[in-house]
Amino acid sequence: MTTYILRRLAWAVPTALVVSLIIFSLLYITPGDPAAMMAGQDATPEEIETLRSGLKLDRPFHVRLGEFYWDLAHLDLGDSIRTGDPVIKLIASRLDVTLTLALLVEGVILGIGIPLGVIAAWRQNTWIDRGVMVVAVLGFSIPGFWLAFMAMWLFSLKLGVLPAAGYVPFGEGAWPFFERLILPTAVTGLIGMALLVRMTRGAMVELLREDFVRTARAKGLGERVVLFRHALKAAAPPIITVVGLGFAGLVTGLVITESVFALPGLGLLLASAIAARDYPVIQGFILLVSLVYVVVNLLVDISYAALDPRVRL
Amino acid sequence: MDLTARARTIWGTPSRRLRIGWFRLLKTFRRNPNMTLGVVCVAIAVTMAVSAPLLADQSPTLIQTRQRLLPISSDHWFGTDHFGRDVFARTIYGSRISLTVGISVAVLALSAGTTIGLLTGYFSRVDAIAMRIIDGLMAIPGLLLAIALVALLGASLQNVVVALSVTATPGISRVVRSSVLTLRSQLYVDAATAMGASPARILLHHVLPNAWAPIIVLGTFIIPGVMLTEAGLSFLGAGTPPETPSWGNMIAEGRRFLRNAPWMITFPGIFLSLTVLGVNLIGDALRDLTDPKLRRRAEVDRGR
Repeated sequence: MTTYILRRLAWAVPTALVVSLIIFSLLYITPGDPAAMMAGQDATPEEIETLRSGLKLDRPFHVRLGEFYWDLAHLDLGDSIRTGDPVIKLIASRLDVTLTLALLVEGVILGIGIPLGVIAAWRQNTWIDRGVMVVAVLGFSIPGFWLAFMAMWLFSLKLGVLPAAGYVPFGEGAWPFFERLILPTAVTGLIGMALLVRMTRGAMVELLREDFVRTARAKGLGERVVLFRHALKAAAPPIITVVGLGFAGLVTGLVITESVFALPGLGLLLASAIAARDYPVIQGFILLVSLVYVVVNLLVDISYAALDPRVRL
Repeated sequence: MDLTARARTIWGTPSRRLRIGWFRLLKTFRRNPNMTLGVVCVAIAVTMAVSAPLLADQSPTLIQTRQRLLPISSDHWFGTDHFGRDVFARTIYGSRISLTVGISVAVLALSAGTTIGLLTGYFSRVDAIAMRIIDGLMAIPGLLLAIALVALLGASLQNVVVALSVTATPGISRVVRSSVLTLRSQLYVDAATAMGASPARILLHHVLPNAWAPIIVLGTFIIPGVMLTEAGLSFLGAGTPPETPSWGNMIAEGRRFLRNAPWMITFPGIFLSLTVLGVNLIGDALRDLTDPKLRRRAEVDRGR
């Protein structure tokens, strides 16, 4: 197991290096000159030049690449063009909102998505199965932000049962805090669970034909035990893969949901950075998310090996 | 489990050969109402795009400040927006953007991905380096990579297509590469090599024809994803320029008027969802059709 983990780790490190290299190169060749942008519109060419050497933007690719990794090792992602704050500080200050939402959404995805997939497979080719699959295919097809606006229009503007947007810290009351997270969580979760429902159903349909399931039933075990203890356990590897892959979808979903519901998290930070062409913030965010994604993939591989000894070979 | 296996978990195991006879196609339509629904949805979107000037009697870009935010009426079937532009006309013309982006990206990404997949699968020398780059690109969530590329290239329809193609190519290369890896150890490839065929001939005449099925199925799964990402990019302000009547832009513009003019958001969203749904349903049906294992199982299920 240890050798397997080390081997996977040796695999993840070059990937992380390539990712950061790609993102650095994008930053390097970005046309809109950051120096000109910071200096403002009525700056003289000399002023821009001074600023550029001050920002160390006038040095060759490899020097800046070396500095980029040096800074990265010190958790320095550069400064925002707009506010001048370090990007890492901006990201850290927004992390709590996004993490809260992410946990809630992942809870909805796993807590509803997996049972739905299992039940659909169990009642294969009945109306229950078809209904679940319709929900799943709609989740693939409906744009999340549109569904969010429709939900906001119905529940906040027409029915008036939930607040439309905004964020209240937990310290100012538990209900106002949760109330504003219900719609974002529901919408992102509903869209995000589509792939998981499909994969769970697909894996379970195959497994329910297996001999060990028949044996379990013949032993007289209850259906719930057969489904969730025996079959679902065997279906864990593909499900974990999909959950790990879902990280990219989760980030995308959160960025868009936060932007719709005006939740002051990382997504909103990204959206405002895009609007202001604040490249260091955009690239710092993408770099961080991608590196986390590499780690998530690593964890998926390790849990895979923990569950299925054949993988370790 | 490597990324190839992961791609397979999502897209299914590719089969060897695409064999869709006309008879089988007819039978599929009859047995598979989803496929029919998918074709109808896509047909509506294509009709809208092709005959937009005939269907919409008003200009999608004509600004009429006196007719701002008008509700649904016989003059304006879908109401008007904050510039007095006809939402019906804009929705009709919006299909052009969505389909153009979806189809061009699918064509570009499939060509690039197939080429890369063939080369990396066959020549192990380029394989190692190319695969590291592809792993790196795949580790960046698609929407974010597209945002970075559009920020870099500038917001235009063309650059959105380029950005989305770059985003979609790595996944295709991986799947094609994995097919090539299995195909190149086939006996007929050995035979061709023994007869002195050049690598180009082997790849184009012996390997590629047998790898078509997964490539086409992949294509139908890329189009809907690309359409949604394009709308998402426009919504975040990193997509087509705001004056373009694309469905994503229309929804983004309508957000400020959700209370007073919900029709600005509702209609483009419905048409975007239906178009994406249609392509998804066709993709599902095509995959079932080209996956012999699945087909056999479906027949067994019916027999019971």
